[in-house]
Amino acid sequence: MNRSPLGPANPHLSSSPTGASASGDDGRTSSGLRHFFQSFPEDRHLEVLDLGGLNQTNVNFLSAFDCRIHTLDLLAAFDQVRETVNGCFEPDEARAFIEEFLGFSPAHFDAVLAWDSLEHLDAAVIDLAVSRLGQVLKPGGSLLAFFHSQAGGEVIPLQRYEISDRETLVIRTIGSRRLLRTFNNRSLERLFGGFESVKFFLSRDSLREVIVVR
Amino acid sequence: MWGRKDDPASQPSSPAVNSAAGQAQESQRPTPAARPAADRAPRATAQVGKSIRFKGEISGSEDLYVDGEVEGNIELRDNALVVGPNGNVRAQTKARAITVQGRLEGNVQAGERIEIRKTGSLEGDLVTPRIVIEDGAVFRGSIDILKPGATQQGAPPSRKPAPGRVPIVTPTPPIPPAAEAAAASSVPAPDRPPQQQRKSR
Repeated sequence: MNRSPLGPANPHLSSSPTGASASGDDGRTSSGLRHFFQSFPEDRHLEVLDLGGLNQTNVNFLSAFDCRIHTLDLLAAFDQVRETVNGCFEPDEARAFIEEFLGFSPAHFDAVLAWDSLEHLDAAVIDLAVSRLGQVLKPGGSLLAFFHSQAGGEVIPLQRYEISDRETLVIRTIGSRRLLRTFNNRSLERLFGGFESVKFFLSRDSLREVIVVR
Repeated sequence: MWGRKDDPASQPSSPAVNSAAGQAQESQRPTPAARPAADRAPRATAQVGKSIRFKGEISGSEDLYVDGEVEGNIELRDNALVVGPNGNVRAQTKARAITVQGRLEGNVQAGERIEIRKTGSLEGDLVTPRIVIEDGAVFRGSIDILKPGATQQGAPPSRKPAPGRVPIVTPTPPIPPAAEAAAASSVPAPDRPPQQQRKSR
């Protein structure tokens, strides 16, 4: 089964060999990223989880801190597993997916970069994923997530986010994908209700940046 | 470019573990005449050809090229390991430099660098001073970048056993020579990634 009605089984592979068309090569300011790094403790070894997959630019940037970077392409994992469950996660399958890919030790990570991976998860998976991310974050740890503000059902660009500096992101379009649903501030508050605090930043490019703190 | 003349993939010489398949592969590689003069210096490179399946522990003081299957441990502290495009390695691995063109599963420690090529797939926890990732590389695990004089911190988080893990395709930006050289020469400051990173985009 095709994991996306818009492209090949892995939309990441629909890009050009050089990493696809780049949008905003000069980067754009990200308030969410700035807040994320403001809460980044620099006086000790850090454990950082990046759910956007392996990315040379981000590895280079993050490795300047004293940290171990855990990388996982959550969306690619989700798409590949969804193929095996015929496109629909039953509750048991959703739990198994979370155990398989987010089964880290509790309170292990100082920070999580979720980028826009969460908004593409099925309803059966996203609550479990957010709950598990809350568990694997240390108290006081931050999670940065992005949510597109277009209407559900619209085709949106599939993007890769590269950290240029503490408040600048280069966003590369690597394909397209249909948005499952729209998250507004209220639904995001509900989604991250188990966290200590939730902050939103709405950017000009229809991207809602969310910083949550456990 | 850094490291090229040390890359056993580009300069196999006296194979210690060899096979007909390995020799066939040899014939597809650049001939000595086609290589730059600096690359022609003889250097011992053992090979596990693509029809070879090996289970156990490999250690030694020469470079190793694996295009077959290896399961166990590989320890080449001062030498390079290349997992060729057909290579399938499930091993705890220690080497000076590790290049993955095929599949490598297991924890990996490199004294100098780890390179995951676009055809490469690596699953495990990495400890290395430098990492080079090509667009299309597959990776799942953690990366601990060692700084000069630093020691490895703590243990990776325990993950529950994961039967039937699916490969995670992670598109990554291309690594032009300038960026590769930059990765080899410096680690960027958090506020100021080196200029080469910007150029690479």
